[in-house]
Amino acid sequence: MPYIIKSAVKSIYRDKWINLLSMLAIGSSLLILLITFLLVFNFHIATSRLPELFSLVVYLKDNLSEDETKKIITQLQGRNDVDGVKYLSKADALVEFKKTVKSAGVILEGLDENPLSSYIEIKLKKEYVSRPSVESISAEIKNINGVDEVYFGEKIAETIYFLKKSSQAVSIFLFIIVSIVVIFISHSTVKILFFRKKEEIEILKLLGATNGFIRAPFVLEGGILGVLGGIIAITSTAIIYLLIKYKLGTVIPVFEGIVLPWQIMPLSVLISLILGVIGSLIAVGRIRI
Amino acid sequence: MVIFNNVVKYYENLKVLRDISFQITKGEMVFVTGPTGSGKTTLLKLIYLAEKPDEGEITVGDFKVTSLKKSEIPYLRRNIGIIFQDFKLIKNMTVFDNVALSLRIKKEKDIKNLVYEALKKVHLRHKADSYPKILSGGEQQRVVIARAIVAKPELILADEPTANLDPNTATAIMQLINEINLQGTTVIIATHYRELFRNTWKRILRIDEGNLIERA
Repeated sequence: MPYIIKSAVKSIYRDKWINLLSMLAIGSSLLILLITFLLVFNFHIATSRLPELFSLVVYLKDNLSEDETKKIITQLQGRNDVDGVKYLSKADALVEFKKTVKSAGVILEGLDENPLSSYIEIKLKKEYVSRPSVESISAEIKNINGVDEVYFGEKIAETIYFLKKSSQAVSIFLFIIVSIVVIFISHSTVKILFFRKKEEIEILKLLGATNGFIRAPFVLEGGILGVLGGIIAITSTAIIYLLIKYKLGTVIPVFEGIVLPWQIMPLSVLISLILGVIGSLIAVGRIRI
Repeated sequence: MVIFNNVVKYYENLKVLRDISFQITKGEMVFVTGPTGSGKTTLLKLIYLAEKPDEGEITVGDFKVTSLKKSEIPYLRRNIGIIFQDFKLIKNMTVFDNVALSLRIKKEKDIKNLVYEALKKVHLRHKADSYPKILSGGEQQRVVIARAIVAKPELILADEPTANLDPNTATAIMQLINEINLQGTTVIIATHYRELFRNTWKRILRIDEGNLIERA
């Protein structure tokens, strides 16, 4: 076994308690990140269906000819952000109104003519269902000749947008915090080990060891701590996921559908390895001959 | 092999070495002597650049020590075997691994054979798997000698190599160093023990209050 690997492994074994503590700390931090990711990921799946329910209603002016109406429909269908359109004439709108509102008969009583306008219901593409896009799309449509008014569920669009953005922000924030924590833990561990081995390092320098030769086992040690911490985290996440899905899911059915993208597991270990190496590199960066 | 030209060294405001000049040729064995605190260890430290001279020039083999870059210092040290008074052995490494360190640093091959060969020279082949703490002072010093010679350096520096050793062990250690010198390695020994060089015909550099007094 090459000296550097042997030295790193021996050092981990020699200072097993401090290293075990560091691994658990790294593992716990990553576990928090993975559980958050699991929540955000499943929340994302749940919210990704919401835009399908969202629609924009374009009310047309009363005196439009059939050709003018068709022209508006064609124009709307040609837009990049529109997934589909559904036209309802004044008569269709009345039928729809009577279907959805039980007391429609009472409301419409006494009116000689149909008070409802013809309208076009627009389904937007998923990526455009956010308050800023919906607002700008609706403003553009409002400028089309023959369009009277455009309505959309402002609150729905806003909520979807807010939930998506905030869950993304939370996960990015946590990722940054956990990264700093992992770097800090491996940095502190390696720094402690570095000071404990000060005498050994001094001897190595006197024998002609380069900085690289002295640093390498420490950097490797930081990497190993990262990997082992990562393994602790993914194992715990897998156990928690299986418990939620198969134990809690039998009691609360909503948890049955929880999804864990397994690709995240090796990626987490890789990220942990990189963070461990970065931490130890910072710790040993000040070695001078 | 080692050239000092008007070397001056201060510790804070105290001048420990004053205008030191000497030349040691390849294959020589030289004693640097003087009372405790006279600057013997400092002189050795200047050779392997554990200390930097404040004035003057030092040359060791092909290395202009005084103008070496930091990154070049390890390569100078790889050409020097150092025997320390306080041994400087790594406690959690076996005798074998301690001796092998010099070779691993130099990325040498055939480490196993070279280490056993060096341990055989110091009569410690059977202690290869032992840890330093269970060895006697004399044995530890022999491990240090094995570590110093294993990479076959051209220069050996020994700082009080027999300090804290009983007379018989000290004699054995000196015999070993003599043998190393007889094989062509340049040796510089810093010591204040007159017994080590009383009946020798080797060159003696005496340092007294920072001044060099040389006698043949």
